[in-house]
Amino acid sequence: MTRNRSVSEKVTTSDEIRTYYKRFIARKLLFMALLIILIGLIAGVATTLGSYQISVTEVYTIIWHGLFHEPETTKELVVWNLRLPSIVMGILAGIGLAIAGTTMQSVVRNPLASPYTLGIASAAGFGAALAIILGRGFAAGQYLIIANAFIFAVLSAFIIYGLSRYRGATPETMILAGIALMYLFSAMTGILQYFGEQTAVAEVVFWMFGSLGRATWDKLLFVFIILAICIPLLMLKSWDLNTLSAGDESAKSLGVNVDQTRVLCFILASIMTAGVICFTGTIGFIGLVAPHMCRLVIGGDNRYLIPASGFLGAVILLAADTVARRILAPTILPVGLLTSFLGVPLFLYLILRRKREYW
Amino acid sequence: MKRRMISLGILMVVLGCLVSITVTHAAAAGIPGDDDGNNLLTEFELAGNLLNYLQGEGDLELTDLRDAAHVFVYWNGAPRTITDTADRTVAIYRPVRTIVVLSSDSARAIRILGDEEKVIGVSDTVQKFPFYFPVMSQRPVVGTWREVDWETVVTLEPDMVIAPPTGTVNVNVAADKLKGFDITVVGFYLYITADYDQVFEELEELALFLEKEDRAEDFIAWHDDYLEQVEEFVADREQPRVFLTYTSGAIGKTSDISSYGPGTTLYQVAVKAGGRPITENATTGYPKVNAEWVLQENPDKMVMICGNVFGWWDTTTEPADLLQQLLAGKSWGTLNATVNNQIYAVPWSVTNGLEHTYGIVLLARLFYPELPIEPGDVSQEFLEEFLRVEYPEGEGKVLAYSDSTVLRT
Repeated sequence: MTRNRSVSEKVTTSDEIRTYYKRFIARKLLFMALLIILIGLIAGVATTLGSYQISVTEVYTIIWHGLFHEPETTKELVVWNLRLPSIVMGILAGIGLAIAGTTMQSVVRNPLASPYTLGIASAAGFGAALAIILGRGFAAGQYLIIANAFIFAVLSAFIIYGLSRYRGATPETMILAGIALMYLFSAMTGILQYFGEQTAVAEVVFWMFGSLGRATWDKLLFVFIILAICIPLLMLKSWDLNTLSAGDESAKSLGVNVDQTRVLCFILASIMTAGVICFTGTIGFIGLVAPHMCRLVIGGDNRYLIPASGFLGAVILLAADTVARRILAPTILPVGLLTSFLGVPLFLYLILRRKREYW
Repeated sequence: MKRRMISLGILMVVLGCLVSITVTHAAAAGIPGDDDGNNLLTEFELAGNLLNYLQGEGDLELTDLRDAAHVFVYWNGAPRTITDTADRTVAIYRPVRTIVVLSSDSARAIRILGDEEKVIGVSDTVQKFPFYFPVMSQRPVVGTWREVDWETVVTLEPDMVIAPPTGTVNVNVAADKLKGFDITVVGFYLYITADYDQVFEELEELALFLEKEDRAEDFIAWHDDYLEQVEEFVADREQPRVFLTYTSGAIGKTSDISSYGPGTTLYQVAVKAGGRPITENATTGYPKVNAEWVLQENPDKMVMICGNVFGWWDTTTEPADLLQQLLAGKSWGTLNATVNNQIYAVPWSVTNGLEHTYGIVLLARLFYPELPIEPGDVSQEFLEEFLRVEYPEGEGKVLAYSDSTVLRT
């Protein structure tokens, strides 16, 4: 508020307004550019780190060579089949989870909303637990856990959608339905764990920590396709999401179909979350905190917030995974825990340093 | 609109760059010297390659020629092929020289087959038990049951990786990660599953790959002999009704009463030992029961497997403490098992892969104290003959504990 007043006091002519707006936008774009550079830097370092001895120059030569030829030597296979899939999955998963979190927070106008608080992750966890403990599900073999996690996550989203259709797609309905489902699926997972074999229960717990080590190029292609479909659609709805933040009445008066926007964005965010966590496990924190961190820096305009959150999510996840893989090598720490260890101090720092309300 | 499109464009370019390439790679596998690639090494092909080598020509090195000669002489010139427990057809085209094991059960099986020198990388469990695995525990650790550092595996350049068929780190994950590295990946549990005989079939298949069929035969004959003795002894006797339970963890936290249903390892071992578990009608593998139900069933014997030890406890302190925790607040004073002092604490390892033969004899002895086989002797034979480690004879290690009886080494 104070800031707006000072702006209106300072800015008097339309040229000045235009200049100020350009700077305002430039700052956001600069932030995004910095994040992209940071992703490149972390990914660049991560590709050079591993148990197999390959020099830095060799790694980059291999990557360049691999763009045009199939990898053949052991070093090429290590870089292309073992290191890069995890790194690319870190980037894609970070982008997907952070954008899903941003969207859900905007859809339900609640800073605590995330794929986890709305039950999507719990549903995926139940699907995975069903596969791990009982060996039952919607697919067979190595795709059993993936298919179960994906289908239950999407199912959870559609249950919320159905309830919203029945009672009206208000933020309250969606949040309460999401929380109810979260408890339901958590309880069902608890029952499975209660009766499960100890090693299977431990596997479920580990799955829920999340890991990028399960990434392969085939899986990445699936995640990429989901993100490539969902993110552009969300970007096209970003302005409508902005209007929702002013309240449903204001949004309607601006010609926005509030219910349709809310439901569509929620479903897209849910599918994106499901598409990521069915491969990685429930990596927490990113979807909740990355949007807030970005809001603290560039404000709440979803046209910039959505991509910026995605890039920041990628930075956090990639950095966390790199540390998780190398800090106690060859033992690998769960990346879901590292995201919290790395992200929480940064988040708290930003909150303590904030000079204005951002939500 | 323009800015929106720019943002969209940036995003798409970044994503597009990241996943613009897919990689597929076929491993170069085959019998060395099999020039026509028909997976059958003929005398003519072998002789031709030997002559080429002697003349300083040809692509094969001396090691390749040795392997080729071995395959020709001992394998009839054909690869050795099996179907592993994950239902994958796996073939080897030359003798296996180096192995990475991703579970202690497969490490134990390899030790029984006498090929531990071939193991060059292990899971962390193997490293934790140097008594059982004196050679293998010194090998580099490649990961845990949760995660494996596949780069470390590749660095070790093993010929074969043995992974469990299911679980977080399973054979399919391993095969996916090691695709293209010319490493054979095979999936075996090598512990008792719902199909009791499976573990022996796995051992035989592993032995076929390692050319240790005689060692596998010896072990299976040893197992069959003891199993037969136990089965004969218990055949005409009244079977005791037994309650099987376990602690939730190494520290003996017994907040709930967990048991074993049909198909689980301890259940199978107890049935082979002549017991009749009171959970025979359970519909889940690991039913949770309450104290009242146990009172109603009134078992004759109770066996709790517990502790974080392999084989035995050094003193009675831990098993005594664990039993005390199990019985606390249960009001089980009138149970047949309590009245007759038939509640036993037994180390987890009685169900460990391929050590269960000793487990069967131990439980049979607890169920039928008059059984004329000393469990300690069986454990000693297993350790000295098959694992080739020194048995702590006469050291008084605790094999099984109850308030009135302590079975010792």
